[in-house]
Amino acid sequence: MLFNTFDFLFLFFPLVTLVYYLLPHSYRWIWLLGASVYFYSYFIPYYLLILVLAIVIDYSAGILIENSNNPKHKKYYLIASVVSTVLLLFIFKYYNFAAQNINHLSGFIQQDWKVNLISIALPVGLSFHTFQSLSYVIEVYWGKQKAERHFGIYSLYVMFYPQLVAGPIERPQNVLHQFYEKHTFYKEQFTMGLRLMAWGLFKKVVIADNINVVTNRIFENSTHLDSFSLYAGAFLFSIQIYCDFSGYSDMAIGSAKCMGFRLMENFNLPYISQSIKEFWSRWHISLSTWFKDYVYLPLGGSRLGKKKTVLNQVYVFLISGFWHGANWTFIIWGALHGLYNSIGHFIPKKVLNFNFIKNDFIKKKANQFIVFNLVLFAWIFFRANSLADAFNYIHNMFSHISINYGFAEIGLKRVSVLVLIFIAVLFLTMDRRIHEFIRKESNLFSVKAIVIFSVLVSLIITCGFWGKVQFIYFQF
Amino acid sequence: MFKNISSYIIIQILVFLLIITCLSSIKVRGIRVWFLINENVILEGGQTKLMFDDLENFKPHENAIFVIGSSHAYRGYDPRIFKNAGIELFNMGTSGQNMKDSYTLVKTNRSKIHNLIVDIYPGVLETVSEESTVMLIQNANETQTAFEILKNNFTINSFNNMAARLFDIKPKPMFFDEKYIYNGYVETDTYFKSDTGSTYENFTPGGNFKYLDSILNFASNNSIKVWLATHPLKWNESYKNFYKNSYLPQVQKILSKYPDIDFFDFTFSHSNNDSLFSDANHLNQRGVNYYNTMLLEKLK
Repeated sequence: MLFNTFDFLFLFFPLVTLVYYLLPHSYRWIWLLGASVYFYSYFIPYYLLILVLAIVIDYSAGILIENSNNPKHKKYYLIASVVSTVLLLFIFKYYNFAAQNINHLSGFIQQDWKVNLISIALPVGLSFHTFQSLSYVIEVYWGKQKAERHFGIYSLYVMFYPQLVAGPIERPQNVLHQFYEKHTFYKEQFTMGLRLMAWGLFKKVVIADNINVVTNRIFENSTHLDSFSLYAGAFLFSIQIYCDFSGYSDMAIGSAKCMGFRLMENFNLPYISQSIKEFWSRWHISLSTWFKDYVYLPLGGSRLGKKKTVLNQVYVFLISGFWHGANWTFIIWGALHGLYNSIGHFIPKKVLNFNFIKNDFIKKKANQFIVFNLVLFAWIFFRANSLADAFNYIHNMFSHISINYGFAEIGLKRVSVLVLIFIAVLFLTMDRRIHEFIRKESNLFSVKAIVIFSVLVSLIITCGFWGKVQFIYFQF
Repeated sequence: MFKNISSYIIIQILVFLLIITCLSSIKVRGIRVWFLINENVILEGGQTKLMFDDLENFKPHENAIFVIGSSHAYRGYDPRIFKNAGIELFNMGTSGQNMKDSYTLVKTNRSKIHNLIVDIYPGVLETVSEESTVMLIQNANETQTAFEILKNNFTINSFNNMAARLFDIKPKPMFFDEKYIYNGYVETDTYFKSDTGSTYENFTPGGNFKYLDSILNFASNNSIKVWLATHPLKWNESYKNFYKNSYLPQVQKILSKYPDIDFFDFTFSHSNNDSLFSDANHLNQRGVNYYNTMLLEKLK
């Protein structure tokens, strides 16, 4: 089920929340689990089996690890659990990619290694719930989390509907105990949840989905466009992906909050970042911290000297790129971020911080501008269908130097694109204020709150693109 | 609490009206900003507008035939060919018209319709799309008809288009660069270039079958003579299998309730001759001549 549909907004969400509060505490987990199963089976019911398999593996692994007194056995259980979870991910997400590359390679070196492709669709949100599941097993292995003995509650930890298909990728310490807590209805908490949902829905259907129409055409017809139009396409995609994914996250956090659950923040105004490092502390926070805790730090983090630190960061970004999708475009996207980060280590701080600029405001804006454009450049790889498309786009962006606004040739109204660019810029300037206002606990019925909420609802109805556009991150 | 909720609802309505007024009145280069931001709010105009203008002035005889359906209809039934055979024809087809909207059109024009061709093919019976709903709402000559269409297919997009229609003071029809003939017909003179065949493989009968049934039922209760028809389509073996095994049984199931209704199915009446088509889905004028001649033979 999609968050941006009538079924979710006016049937599923109100019903699940209402019944949740009406039920006695001891039955609530059953209700939530049932609702989550229904939510997920809206996509392809058969994929529930894969989810159940992952749950059974990691639930059993957690208990076996905790019950075992032998460190070697504990390690074996952990490895078995990680390998089987990663295997699931490999089969569904990476097998065909690996097979295609082996076939290409065999053609290139004139060998006959034909690997057959399999016709299989990626279960929605597989990368998210497998990572959440892995997080649990690793925490149990490290002794930071007790193994969950209640199979239903553990299943709910993996399947909790708000964050089931696109995160935030939660940690067991933050979520598991909340399923045992008795949540009572608080007006302030509920209204904050609703505000978050409205803001998330606004970002998705008003900003991201309307921009989607334009970026699709620009990225599919880059050959015909001039550098300004191509830059505009990349700029709009940067805003689209932010609004799409942070919109989903806000709706997830908001819908959970309405039932009294606290999920971790996933975005914190990433485009105000003044360095790539800061960007990654603000963008997809739950994934960044996952990689930091379970890959970067175990590899040695920044403790083993500058060279090793840089290498560790490059590994993490490469894996992060690969996590996003089985395509070289995502790997290059990750590699680019790794490269940006590494270069940062070798440029003197004075230069990097623009110390030669005296005015702090200009210094800050210059940093933000550079970071935003580096991120924008990398998004071209993320959005392109293939590496060839991405290179073609970049080549045209730097070689077709003119401002022809060739939008009409690709079926777009020039004035429409310019209005959307204006709206995107306006959104960037107002994002911080609204982000902070929405998260402040306040009375829903204060005049300011009523006006902002009414404007959001009105814009969602009138300007929302109601065409069941999937969230970009669902494909991961 | 009740006072708070009441004041919220009142402010919400006022803000909503204010926003609609702004979106409808603020223009950039002569186009209302609402159309620039939201692609689902469409401009009035095109074939649908011209069809409704003609419909207003159309005074049909007893033997006049109306056609309903999607672009297959408005590109597939030429009133000039029918006129030469002594039959008046009016094409009420609109782009992506679903059976729900067709049903509303038949009901709202009941007084004019005595004979009706319902143009069907798998695509139009599979999904209830909003494409025709928003177009009809923007272009229907009578606001009451627009309301009727909105009522029968209420979605946020159709609601927005109704609001845009009501707030539109000076409509400016959108540019239409195709060859509109008259009585709803659009002539296509291009030729199909590659041989891809049709791509349907799985057929999920959606809500449209229910409305096809409603149209046939309404016609039978109101003494309207009805025929179902499908014009020639590009096909390949897999499409043929799908058509005969998955799609056709569903149509025959409905038709079994109406023994007096004939179904003129010309889908495979040709040897995949590209020169009859403008694309994989539509006939060009040569194809229309071929099809309409065959159809007229059957109608006689």
